[in-house]
Amino acid sequence: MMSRVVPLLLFVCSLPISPVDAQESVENTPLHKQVDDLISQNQIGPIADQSDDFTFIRRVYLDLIGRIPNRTEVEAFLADSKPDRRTALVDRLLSSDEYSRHMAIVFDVMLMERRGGKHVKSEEFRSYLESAFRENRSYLEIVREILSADGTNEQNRSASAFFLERDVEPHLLTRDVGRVFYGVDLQCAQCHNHPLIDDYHQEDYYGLQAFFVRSNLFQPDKKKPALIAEQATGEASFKSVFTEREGVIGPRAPQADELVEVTLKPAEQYAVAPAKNVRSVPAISRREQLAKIVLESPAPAFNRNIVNRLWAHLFGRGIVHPVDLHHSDNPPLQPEVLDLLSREFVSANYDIKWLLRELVLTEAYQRSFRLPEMQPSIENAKQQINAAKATANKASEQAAQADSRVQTALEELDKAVAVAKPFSDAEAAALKQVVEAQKVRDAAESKVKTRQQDIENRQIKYAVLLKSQESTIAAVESLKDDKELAAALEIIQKRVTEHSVELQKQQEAIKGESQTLVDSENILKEKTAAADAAISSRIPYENQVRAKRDELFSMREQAKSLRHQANQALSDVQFLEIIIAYGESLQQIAMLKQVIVNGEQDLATNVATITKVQQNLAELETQKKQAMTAVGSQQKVFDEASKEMVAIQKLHSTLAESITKAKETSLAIPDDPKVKEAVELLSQSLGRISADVTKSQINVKEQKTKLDLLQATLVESTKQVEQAKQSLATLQEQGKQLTQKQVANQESLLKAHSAHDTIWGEIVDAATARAHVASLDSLSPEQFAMSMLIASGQYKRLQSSAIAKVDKEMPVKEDSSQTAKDQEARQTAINAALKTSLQGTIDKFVTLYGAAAGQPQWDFFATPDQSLFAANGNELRTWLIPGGGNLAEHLIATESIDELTREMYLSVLTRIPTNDEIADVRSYIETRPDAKAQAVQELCWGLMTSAEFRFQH
Amino acid sequence: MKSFAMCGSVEHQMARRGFLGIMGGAIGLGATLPQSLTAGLSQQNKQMLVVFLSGGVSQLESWDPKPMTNTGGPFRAIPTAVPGIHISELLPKTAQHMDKLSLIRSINTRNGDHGKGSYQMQYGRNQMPGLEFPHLGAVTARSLERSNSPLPGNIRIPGGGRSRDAAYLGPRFASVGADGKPPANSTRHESLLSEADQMRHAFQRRANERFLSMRRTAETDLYTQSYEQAMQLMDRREVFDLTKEPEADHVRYGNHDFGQHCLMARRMLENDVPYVQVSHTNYDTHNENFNFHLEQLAEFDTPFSCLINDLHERGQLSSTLVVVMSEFGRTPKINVRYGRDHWGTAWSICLGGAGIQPGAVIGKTNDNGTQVIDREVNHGDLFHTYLSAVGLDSSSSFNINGRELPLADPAHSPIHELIR
Repeated sequence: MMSRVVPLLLFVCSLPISPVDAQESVENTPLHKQVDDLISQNQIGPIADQSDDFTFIRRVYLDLIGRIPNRTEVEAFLADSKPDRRTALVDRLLSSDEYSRHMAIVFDVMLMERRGGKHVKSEEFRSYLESAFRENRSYLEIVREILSADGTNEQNRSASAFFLERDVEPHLLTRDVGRVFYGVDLQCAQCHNHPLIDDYHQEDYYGLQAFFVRSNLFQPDKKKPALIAEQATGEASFKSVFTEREGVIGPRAPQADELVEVTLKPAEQYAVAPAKNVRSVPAISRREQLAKIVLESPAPAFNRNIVNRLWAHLFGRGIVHPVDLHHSDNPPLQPEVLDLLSREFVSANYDIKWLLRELVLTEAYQRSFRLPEMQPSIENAKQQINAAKATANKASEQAAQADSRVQTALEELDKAVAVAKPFSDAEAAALKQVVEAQKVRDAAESKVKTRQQDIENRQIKYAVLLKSQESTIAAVESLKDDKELAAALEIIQKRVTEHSVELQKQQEAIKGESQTLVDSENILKEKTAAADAAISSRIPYENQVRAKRDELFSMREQAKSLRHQANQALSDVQFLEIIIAYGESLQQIAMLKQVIVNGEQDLATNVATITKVQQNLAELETQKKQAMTAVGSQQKVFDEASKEMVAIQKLHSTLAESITKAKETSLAIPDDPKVKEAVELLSQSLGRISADVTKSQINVKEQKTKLDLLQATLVESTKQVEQAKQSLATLQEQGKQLTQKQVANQESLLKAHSAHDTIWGEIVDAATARAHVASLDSLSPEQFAMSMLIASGQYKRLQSSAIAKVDKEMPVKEDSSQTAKDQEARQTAINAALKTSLQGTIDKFVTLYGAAAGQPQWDFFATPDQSLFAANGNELRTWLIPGGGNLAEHLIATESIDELTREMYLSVLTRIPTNDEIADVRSYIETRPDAKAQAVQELCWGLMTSAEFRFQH
Repeated sequence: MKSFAMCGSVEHQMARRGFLGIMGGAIGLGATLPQSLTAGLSQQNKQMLVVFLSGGVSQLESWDPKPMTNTGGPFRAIPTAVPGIHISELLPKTAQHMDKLSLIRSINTRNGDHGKGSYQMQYGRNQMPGLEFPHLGAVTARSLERSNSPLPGNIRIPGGGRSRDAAYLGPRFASVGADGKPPANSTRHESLLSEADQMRHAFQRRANERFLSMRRTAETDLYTQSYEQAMQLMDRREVFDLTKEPEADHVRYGNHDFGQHCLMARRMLENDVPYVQVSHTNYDTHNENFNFHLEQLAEFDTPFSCLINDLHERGQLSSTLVVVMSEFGRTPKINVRYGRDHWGTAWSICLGGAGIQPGAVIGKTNDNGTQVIDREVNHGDLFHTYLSAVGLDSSSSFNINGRELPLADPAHSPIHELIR
């Protein structure tokens, strides 16, 4: 799984990458296959499936030719059933004109970041790139041209845009050459070692700046094109604003040795010496030296930068991302892939088209943008984390040791610089004296020359005077009385004497001046010799400094390489931790789900028990009721019996009283038979009633017993009802608790789901960074504009009118005299007309959707003014007005909604619609029965402004 | 190797950790604010208004008069609402509001070039080749972003469309001109009925939901939001329509450009725009300095004092920083054409509101204004001060795609005694 977690190779080489011997490329295995193998060897976490044909064709059109395919192109691809149709499509696109045009835009934006137009027209630079891509020139060659151009080559002036459009400003060039060609943004190192990035140092910045510090923009006449001039002197010196550490450094390209320069004496320094309105050209141009270094020994960083940028172009993000921040705290997530690609790209002579083809053919490129869910093994991940952590710790420890070696090297360098300083000062002073002596000598020489000229002039005049003196003497002799003539002779003779004296003076003067010249020449010779001596005595110290500096750089590279390893391992740790967190969140969710299921069961049991208890209670209550009724009726029976008994007892006592009275009477009236008889009768009755009393007493007792029994039953029944009620209450309380628990569990589950989604998002991001799933990346302004034009059918309309225009200007000949050359001329004219009509629209999109000139162009932004443009601007609205065979017209004419929806989705989103989408479109159109045309335009607008359209996926 | 000077402080360690976090996670959309910016500082409702007097207003005819001296010129100094503070008699109405404002009289920017001075004052740094920094407006708009508002956060009055002054903060925070007209494309075409527009947006939203259920990123969210913001902006397009302000206010502020611009600024601030900048021009008075200032400052005084008054009365001043600045001041020496020339050595600005201590005077120039004699500050310090006044930690950084980029030049710091 993790081939990267291997024993460290320490201090093997001064550069972090040793491209050649690390891994011999497998013979006959195509590069794209090797890339996929490496990616699967290093796979951590889930990986996406292959994209479907729709996603593939949209992606590859956008990446290789900068627009979505039109409906016809999609249909043609779908109709192709050959197994290698994807490869065939890629090859067709790579050989099209549109490929060169698109790549020219991509490279223009990459190199110029939307600068341009000040000195070199943007379209000229773009067409320079376009022809480079049409001829498939090597990247190295293009860079060499760009870095060595000085604007003087009429044939190839556009290549100088990189320098000229940055006004040949040394700091700007340093930053952008670093970023664009080496993938390092050294900006902060302009003022101090980078505070946050350990690998970026002032020496790196100024080593690069030394190549540009002598160059400047040359344009004395604003009407004439700007050129690049260069001085022969000027050094890159710096001082940290934090530590006050000072330094000077000669030219040094990233990861290259410091350039060894010969010190030239003033007279040898220039091919064209600087003067007013003269473009100075040094004998040795440092700027050209950089181009030479790049061409002859391109650094690993240089190679990795371009490979990473091409990768980023296709994958939406670099293996190192952002693409201009290659450093050890930002390690590549697929380092082996980056190394392999760099190596192979170099072997393939920097063939961009070849590399793009290989990359597009990888499975990695062709993956879907949807990542499948996974079930990670937490145990495995934990083991991997331990291994990776061990690697990271070891490398960090060693990096710390390396840092202390860097510190030592730095101190030694500063010492060596201090030792060398008097010598370089002496050299500078000696060279200055040479310049001075040269000046003195030149002045002496010009004095002698002036004097000579003067003497010659005087000699000529003197000769004339002598001649006229001679002839005047002759005239005076023949005309002796002529006083005026005699006077003239006197004047002439006076002049002759004057001139003779003056001439003598001059000749003496020139003698002295010639001597001065000789003297000054001698001094110059002396000074030159002294300078030579100063130079040669400085060289050994200079070499010392260089050796120490090389030592420092090599120590830094070691430290960097170790940090790189540590950070790579740490990024694996991070990803593995995310995966573990993900696994745990899955477990958590599963656990919660189980708890919830169990809870449901408990709740169900509870409910069932409650029902049962309630039924039972109902029964018990019936029983209780019955018992109460029974008690009630028995009470009645008992009460009756008691009443009867009381009545009988009353009768009995009344009778007993009567008997007593009768007996008293019979005592008073003894022997009255009637009384006797009455007593007798009464006594008999009493006997009967006594029996009744006994009987009723027995009855009452019996009923009482019965009543007691029934009451006992009632008490029992009541008790049971109470018990049942209590257990029902308990059960209901339990149910309430169970429900609360369930609610809490459901909430936890929701939370767990949202945590899961967040972690899943992190996994998707990490998987995207590792090319395990395709990224979602916004279209560039140009891609967006072209795709809108294609989708709406406006492009076709513009094409037709371009053809019509050309037809008018150069009609196709009726007879057979139309030659291939004519054809070509026609096509060129059509392309030119089309380009002109597209340009305004594309420019508008660039202004609105592109970042500011000179800023990185890959940051996405969305502003309301863009959306207002899309919603209410004239462009989209008019493109969607049906007509000229555009999409809206085609759709309005399509009867079947199924067919209409299919055509619309194929045209705009490069795929067929789902059933849901067809239903959506159907209901949209059906709610507008009178306005199908409007409805269709609104639907097209909705899709063209959708996120699916705005992004590459 | 670490760079020694910076790595001792906790802030830098924090920044570094945040930075590594982003790099390690390798995600970083480049839109995350550093902790220190989001953590509980009271900048939520803060706003900033900059009045830029372009050409270079004379400090001697405005905030730091030197009457009766060889450099003072013909105008008097008048008392203000704060006993002891005097300003030029050319600003009688502003003088009434000095109890709400403060002055900084000890600015030395060591520069006399218009372009460089404008850059210094609005970007808080010296312009350096190869380096691009965001404008004060972009820094403010980004730091005080109103994520729910469809209105631009960085408004320039007057001005055209979106400008390119946000550097690495991105076009979202670049200044947008407001010239009294609603934004471009903010009306529906007559062929599209409102209901139909709602319908097509609803369809677009459904299409987005279907797609984004498969894969969603911060970028797709930004994109879909921008359409909602556009719809809101269409509903609120009258925000940009100055004719909606009462006639009385038009009269009060004055029917000239600057008066109208100040009224527009008030309208923008009322609508919670975080940063508004108004320009007033024609202060480059190499000839006839006094006549020009008499005229220009008269035009400035009324609308500016109305604005301060209104912000105060509406309770907005306590959360709105107001700064009156220029690219530089003007020479104390009066030239033969009764003019004053470019001068960055000893000049002044006026500011107030939000976190600024009112009624204060920071720094001092000598008797005839030819040099700073107390508490010298420069554009870097001022930039820090503005940010601090609206509740920001001016020593914190933006994290842009893994790059830690300080809000203000780390070599400077706020004028602490001026911050409440």
